[in-house]
Amino acid sequence: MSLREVLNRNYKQVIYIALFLSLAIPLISPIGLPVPVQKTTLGVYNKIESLKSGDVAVIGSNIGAAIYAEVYPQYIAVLEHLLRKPGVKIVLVGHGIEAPIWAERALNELNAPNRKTYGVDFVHLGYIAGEEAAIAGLCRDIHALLKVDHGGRPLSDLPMMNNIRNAKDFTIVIDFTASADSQYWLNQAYASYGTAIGFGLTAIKVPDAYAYYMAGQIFGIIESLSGAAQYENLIHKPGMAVTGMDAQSLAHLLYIALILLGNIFIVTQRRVK
Amino acid sequence: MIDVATLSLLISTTLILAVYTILYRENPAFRVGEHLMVGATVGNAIVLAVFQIRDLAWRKLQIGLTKGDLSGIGYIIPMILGVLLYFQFSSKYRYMARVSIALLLAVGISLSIRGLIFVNVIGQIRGALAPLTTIQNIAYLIGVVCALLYFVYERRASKLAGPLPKIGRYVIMLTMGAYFANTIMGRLSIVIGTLTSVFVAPALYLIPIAFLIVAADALIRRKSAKA
Repeated sequence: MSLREVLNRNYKQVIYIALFLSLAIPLISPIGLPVPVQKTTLGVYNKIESLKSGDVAVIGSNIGAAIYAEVYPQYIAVLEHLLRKPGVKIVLVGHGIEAPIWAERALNELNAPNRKTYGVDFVHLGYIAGEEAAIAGLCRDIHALLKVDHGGRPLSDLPMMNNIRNAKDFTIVIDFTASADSQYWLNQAYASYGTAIGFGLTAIKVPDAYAYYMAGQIFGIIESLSGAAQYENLIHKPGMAVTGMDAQSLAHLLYIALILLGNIFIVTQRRVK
Repeated sequence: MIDVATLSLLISTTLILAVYTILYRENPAFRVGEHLMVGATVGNAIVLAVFQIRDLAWRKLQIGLTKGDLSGIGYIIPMILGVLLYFQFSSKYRYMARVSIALLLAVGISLSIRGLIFVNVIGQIRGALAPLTTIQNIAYLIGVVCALLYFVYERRASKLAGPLPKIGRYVIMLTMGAYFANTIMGRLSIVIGTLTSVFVAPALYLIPIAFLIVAADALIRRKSAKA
């Protein structure tokens, strides 16, 4: 069987193998391709850099297994950046059922319990059911909505929560998500209290968020794996995303090559006919 | 002796590779992986939902009943409304589910309407009317106006607009292109994330085994087809 016959009969399988190799090789042996930093990522970085001691950062941890590869590296990078800021209070909250699992995993991965004091520097509120109604409740009065944190400790026993009562006390909110809850934070925290909002999003959600970024309604967006890689470089802690970007860039080159090859193939076939 | 972490890594990698065999052809290994994933996801969601009802409503109701606290007893109302939703499955009593649905809709709309208008209407108009000092702002304004004109179906107005609706169509096509490109990028990121978790010893050694099984199957099928 000639190469042309193989390509004609099993072209899908050939493409899959080529894609697998283009992804696998840089993952096993990283190339170190440059990752230019976008304005949207820089917006989030600069905002966190500007936080002072006593400022409150609310982090929407709406990560799930389906979006883990895109959003979790962003989440880790931003949390690491926040943990490095002295005196900044971190409130983790989730509106997806898997959110607490990923938040706990991230806190352990970053060794947060040994770097900061729970209840003084950071608090994990866990999953709050009710989507936009829950976010509205959080913005209006956290203590009326919740009595205990994720681990069942009363909020009144957590010193930092005494000064955090509603959205007026939030300095920034960064929501990591692939669903509509980014819109909910805009509707409830930004529209009603003027809280500064930023997003960490999956690639498919990014075009939606650009409308808000262009209109100056959000201070930044971390865009999928590429945004995570940019953020990892900004905080000088290359991780999973930076390694992944080599693979993604090579796969994109493969796509371009396949599109060109496909068109050349069609043109030559037409000429033969 | 294999520890739990290694065992879970090997199981997850086997399932990942089983699901990826769909790229070769439909097969029992893929179906096992698919059914296990759906079952595990639904099971996890049900358990978490039950825990949520227990922690957010049932326990508070219990405390309310024992202490005679009205704010706790009040949790009976959302619980009843939740149960009413299940009447959707009965043709005779379906009307009872409408009470809960109506309440859900009313709360949802009333909560979001103010923010939606402020963010999606006023904020967007304000953004589009930003000072035309940069090419980006000019392109943004032209894009918004042209895309809106594309949806004006009144004939006289369309004639007055000249080529602008057509430009609007191209703006919309460009936006769709951006969505599509981002979707592809997102899907690739998922594959990269999966491969990152697979390219760890001892899970890594399962990849050549999977390739060999697929190749052997392909050869057997080819021989039997010839015979």
